This record gives sequence, structure tokens and C-alpha cells, in this order.
Amino acid sequence: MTEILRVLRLTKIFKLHLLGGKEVVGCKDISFNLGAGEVLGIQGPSGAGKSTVLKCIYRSYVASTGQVFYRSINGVIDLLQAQERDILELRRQEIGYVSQFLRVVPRVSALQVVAEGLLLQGREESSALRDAGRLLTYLGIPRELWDASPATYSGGQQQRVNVARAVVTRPRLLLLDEPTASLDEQSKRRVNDLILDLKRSGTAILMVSHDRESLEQVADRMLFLDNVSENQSGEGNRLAFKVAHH
Amino acid sequence: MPNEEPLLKVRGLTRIFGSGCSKCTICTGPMAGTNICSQCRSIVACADVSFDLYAGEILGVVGESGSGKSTLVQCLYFDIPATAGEACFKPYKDGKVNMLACSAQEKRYIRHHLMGMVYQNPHLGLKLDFTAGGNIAEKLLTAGIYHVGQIRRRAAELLLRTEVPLERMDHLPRFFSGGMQQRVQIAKALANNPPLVFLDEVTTGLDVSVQARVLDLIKKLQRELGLTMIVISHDLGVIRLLTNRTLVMKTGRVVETGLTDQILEDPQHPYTQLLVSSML
Amino acid sequence: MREKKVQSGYNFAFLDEQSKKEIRRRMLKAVAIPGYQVPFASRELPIARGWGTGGLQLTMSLIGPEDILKVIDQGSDDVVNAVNIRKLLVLTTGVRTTEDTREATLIQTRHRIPEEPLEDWQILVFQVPYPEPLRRVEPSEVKTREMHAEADYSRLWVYLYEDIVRWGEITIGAQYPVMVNGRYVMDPSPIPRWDVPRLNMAETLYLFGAGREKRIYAVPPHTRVEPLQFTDYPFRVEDFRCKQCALCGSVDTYLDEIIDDTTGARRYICSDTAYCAKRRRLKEEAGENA
Repeated sequence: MTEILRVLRLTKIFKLHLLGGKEVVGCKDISFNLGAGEVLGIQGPSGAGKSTVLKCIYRSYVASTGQVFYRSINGVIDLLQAQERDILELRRQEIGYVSQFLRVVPRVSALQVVAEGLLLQGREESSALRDAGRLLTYLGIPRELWDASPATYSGGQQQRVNVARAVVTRPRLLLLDEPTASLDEQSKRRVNDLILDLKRSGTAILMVSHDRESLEQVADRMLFLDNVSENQSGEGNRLAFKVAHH
Repeated sequence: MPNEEPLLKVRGLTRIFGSGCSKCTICTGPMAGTNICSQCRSIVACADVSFDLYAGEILGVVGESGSGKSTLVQCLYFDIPATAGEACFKPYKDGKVNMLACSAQEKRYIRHHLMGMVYQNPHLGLKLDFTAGGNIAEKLLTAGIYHVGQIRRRAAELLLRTEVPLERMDHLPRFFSGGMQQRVQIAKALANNPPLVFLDEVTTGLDVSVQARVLDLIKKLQRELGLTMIVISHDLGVIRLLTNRTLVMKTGRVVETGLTDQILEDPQHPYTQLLVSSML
Repeated sequence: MREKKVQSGYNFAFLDEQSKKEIRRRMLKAVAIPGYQVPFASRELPIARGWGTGGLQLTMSLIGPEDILKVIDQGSDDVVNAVNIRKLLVLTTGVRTTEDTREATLIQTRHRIPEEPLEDWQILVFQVPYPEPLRRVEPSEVKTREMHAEADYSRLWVYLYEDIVRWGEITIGAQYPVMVNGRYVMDPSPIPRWDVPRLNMAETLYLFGAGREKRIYAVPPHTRVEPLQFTDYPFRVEDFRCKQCALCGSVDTYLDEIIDDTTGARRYICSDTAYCAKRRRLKEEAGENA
């Protein structure tokens, strides 16, 4: 199995200037690796820094120390040191991210939102829209809603659009932050099936979730994060391996 | 990784209003908390601004009024001369010369053939006594298209793209709504397919619903035409919707640069933290 | 017809030699930069500014005792403005005058180019009311000079474009803007469009003087002078098809429309009165000989 991601001693400390320079630990000394076609689940209590890890890898956060080696199509690169435009290019071509909240331009239709990633990759419009539509159908968004802006959707529907826009490009590395939160059972199953489908085609997936059941279903391995504020001197994360059940 | 040269390379761009002195840059800036030089009373509108912009990128410049963000763009679009600094622009002589030091004719050429500008105030970007079509024609005529039929076809195409009803083509923008004036301005800025477009507070002063439409249009044009843009705004919401990367300016200096989502989610500089926290 | 009496107490051709020299220097600069408006210190003259003083100063600076002078106004030698200017010049120089274009070495004109072809030993001096072709689109002199310096004529072009959009054609009659030598846009003075093509690649030196506006410019011989035009809306001269001069019968000259005050009937006659008279004379002679 090709290693896609190797995270070494990733630490994030927030410095809050508005609170007199107070420092808050986001995550500390996190190390793990991830292979192609592998799903690593990240678990832990609120405030343990699960999302922080994802955001540091995606570069929405500026990590304080550590290294994140990513094997891109063009070779290995330390994501923490990479130039901004290289990060933008990787986000466009290789790395997908599903955030907890959907942020979109008002007035843009859900279909366009989902197709955007494909269009940015240079896909022809009708084909991009067809793929986007197929995905929305699969996730149970009725066709009559496609032309409406996702801003008008219910929480669960928004979440599905969010998942759809990240997976539509079939990224090489997928970072999922609570992809199944606020979803009903059927939608949850559909999303998990999507994740498994990507996994089978070789996507390396990092999934933060509170949803133990979903993690059980899709993850090959688990990473437990302790609450860093209680464990600041601790040795970092524990990895738990589980036997693949398929 | 793509390894091409930047489309625009800016180094040490400085603009001082007033006589200026050797202490100007020391006596001003975020640490001093002012952009007025205590020695000579000159205003250091922007100083030592450096950045690279790559083709296809959308760079945001954010900051409060007086932070120097508009001055920066005005210098790059040659509305006002820069006091010091360099800017190399790939489409002009392959980025080998400092365009800020070019002659007036060369600057005019760059401005009209290689750049587009959308101002906050349509009066600056449009001649309100020329028709909407005439305004677009001006750009095309500058580029040497002397065929009325061709000009009108291109103008119609641009107005269609920017969602201005075609029957308004021969009307005066003076009588248009603010949102429509902005769309005509955008059409004009895009007339010659410029490699670089500046947007200076384009939605400020528009109704919220009109704002959304204009932003939406810009986003659509960016995607369809692969535009490279520099977007100036004091509004972090606009910056978030439109840009990939952002420069944060305060009292004439760049205090932070980063990916736009990083600037918004994990701002590093005290000023950016304040700016972001006041937004949410 | 040599005039006998030269008015005493005045310098030859009224202006002092120093002023003439300065004006000639300006003219040389104007010739060196075709179409470029050279500022000059317009002198006080015994006629008011706005009555041809620009052209007059050029003529005064150029004229010598051997010159043969012709002065016309709208093509006519007998109109009051032409008569006054001619009288002043004759009174202070004593030069010979003529109405025959082919004979004159120096011609001062207002709003016309004579019909008969001019040659390289002749000079045509135009009186110019408004030298700035960009004035119709830009009121500020500082701005128009900047626009000329940068060859930024897009706004004039937009003006022409809007004219076509509004009226289906360019409505400028006289004073049609021209591009000189591919560089400067120039106001050819209010000559009709009919005369514009004759500025192009001419044999003669054309000098333009604006006394009130204090500008001199020039089109040297063999210089490209092109009217501003669109590829799909080409420049056209006035259309006189199916019309002819009621006096000489000409069908290939610029015609003035005359409406008879009593009958209301329309007639067309040559604008160049001297040429019209010459043609009639030649016709009569031919008739007598026949």
C-alpha cells in the first residue's frame, strides 16, 4: 500500500492577541501515517483537537511545529512548508475537504456548487453538471431543489451538498470533518457508502467523527486524541488498529 | 507542482503623499499606529508592499479605510505614480522591466491593453455621457478595432455576459441603477480580455441583494474566463467569497498574507485577529 | 496689379522683424512635427482676434516684396474679411495681388482650399478658429495636450462611434478630424469634407494659424493625412451628384446652395468664385473662337 500522508509531531498552538497573548494548545505532537485506499478515523472528546489536525493538514490553520508529508502526483511535499499557490493547486486537483459547515455564495444553485470543483479542473460544463446531478440524486436531494441555493436547504441537506462537492472530483486525499453529523440513517448510509467507494478506488481518507457506528463501518484504523488541555505533557496520540472487516 | 513565473511581481511598492523624508517609513506603520510621519508630516499611504500574483489567482487585499489598499491598486493601475518600488508584469515585455518606471505612453498601453479596472464609484470607471456600448467601444478602439459592427458585436457579447439587457446598450449609464452601472463597468473592464483585473470595493454602496448578484457575476466570470484578479475590500465577507489568497493591510503596511481561509480561521497578526473577531 | 503706395511709418508687412523671426521659427517647428500644435505669442494687430489674425501673422512673417498674394474667404476673393486682410497686407508691403490661384505664391484662406491644384512653389495659409480637435470631447487644455502626447484618441473615436449609433453616419461636416502622419490628430480648420482628401500627400506646404488660441501647425508636402473613419463606415465627401454650378456649369467643384429670397428657388454655384469666373471666361473665349 502506497503511503500518501505522513504526519510527524504536528503541534498547533493558538496565540490569542486579543486576550493578552494567551496561548491555547490546539493539538500536540500528533504523528500518524495514511496509505492509499485507507480510512483513518479520528476520535476523541470535544476540544481534543480533531478538527485542528485536519485544518493544519489542509492549511486552513498555520501549524506551529511538525511536518506533514504528502505524496502528490508530482512527488512528496511537506504541506506545512508548501507555497500557498501549490496548496491551492493541490486543493483544486488532489485534496478534498468536507468542513462542518457549508459556506457558499448566495444565489448559486446547489448543482453549480457541487459541479464547481469539476469546472475548476477544466471539465466541460454539461458533463460536470451531469456528474453533480448524479451525486445529488444518490444523496437523496430531490431534483426540484437543485436550482435553489443550498443556503435555503435544511441542515441535513446542506451537509449532503457539502459532502457531494468534496467527493465529486474523486480526490487523492480526502479530509472529512463530521461528514455524517445531522444526517438521518439513510443519508448516513449513503455517505458511508460513498466513502467506501472512494476508498476502494484508492483515495486516502482521514475522517473525524463522533459517530462511532460510522467510523466502525468505514475506518481501517482509529486514532484517539486525548483532551490536550488535560494532557499537555502527555506523549500525544494513541493509535488503535482494527482488523479490516472486509 | 506548476512552476511558472508570477503574472505580477511587486516589490517594495511605496507611495508617500507629501515631501517625504528619511524617517518616513520608520515613523509610520502598524507599530507607530499611524501613517503620518512625525518628522515631516507626509502621509505614507503604503510602504514596502511586496507580493507575487500567479495567473488564475484571485488575491484579496483587506483592511480598514486609510490602510492603503486602494492606493496600492491605484499605483499598479497608474492612476497615481508610486514613490518607490518595482512591479514586473509578465504580459508586458515578459516581466523583465519595472512597469512603474515606464513612460506615460507605455503605462497607457499596459493599462488599456493588459489591465481592467472596476472602481467603487462608477463615475471613475465609466464616462456617464457616453452610452453603455460607447464605454465598451472606448476600450476596443484603444486596442485598434475600428469596425463599428465588430465593436457592437463584442459589446453585446460582454453585456450579455454581465447580465445587462441588450436594449440598454445605446442608453446612457447616467440613468442606470447602481448595480447595472457596476455591471457595465465590469463589461468594460473585460473588453480586451485583460490578463489582470482590479476590483476596488465593487459592491460597497450597493443594496445587499444587488451586492449578491454582482459578487455572483464576478465569481461566474472568474470561473468561465479564468480571470486573474486583485480584489480590494474592507468587507471580509466579500474577500471570503471571491479570493484564494489575501493580504491584510494596516496603516500602509502588509501585516499578514495567507490563504484566505487561513486568514479567516487562523489569523496570526493581532490586527487580523481583531478584524476577524469584529466580523463574526 | 502692383499697388503704388506703401503706407509710411510701418515696418514691411506690419510686424517687426523680431516677431516675424519668432513666428517663422514656430512654423519650422510645426513643419518638423506635422500636425502638432506649436504655441506662439500671438501679436496685436489692427484687426480683432477671431478675424483671421492667426493666418495673417503667418502671412506677414512669410511675405516678401516679390510674392504674389491671394486672399480668400469661403472660396471668395470679394468677401469683406478677405478684402480687409488683403488691403492691410498691400498697404504695408506693396506686393502684387491676384485672384488667380495658379499665379499666387502665397494664399491666405478661410475655410476652403482653392479648386485648382496647388504646386510646390506655393504656400497655403489657413485661418483657424479652433485648433484643438479634441475640444469637443475634452474641455481641459491640460488634458488634451496629455492626450496628444500619448496619442490617446479613443474618446474622439467614441464620439464618432456614438454619432454613427445615433444618426447612422458621422455627422461632422466641416472641420473633420484627420490623422496626420499616423501620429497627431489635427483639426483641418472648418474646410468642407470635400477639401480633406486634398490635404493628403499634397505638393504644397499647408500652414495653419490660430491667433486667438495662439497655435501654429502645419502639414508639409507629401505628408499622409487621413480622415478618422471606421472600416465599415468610410469617410465620404459631400454629395453633389445631379447638381451643377448655375453659372459655369461645373459638376466637379464644391458647390454652395443659394436660396433665392423672393422666389425661394434653390441654386448651386461654385464656392471658389475666382475659378468659376475663370471657367466662364474660358468658355466665352472658346465660344467666340468657334
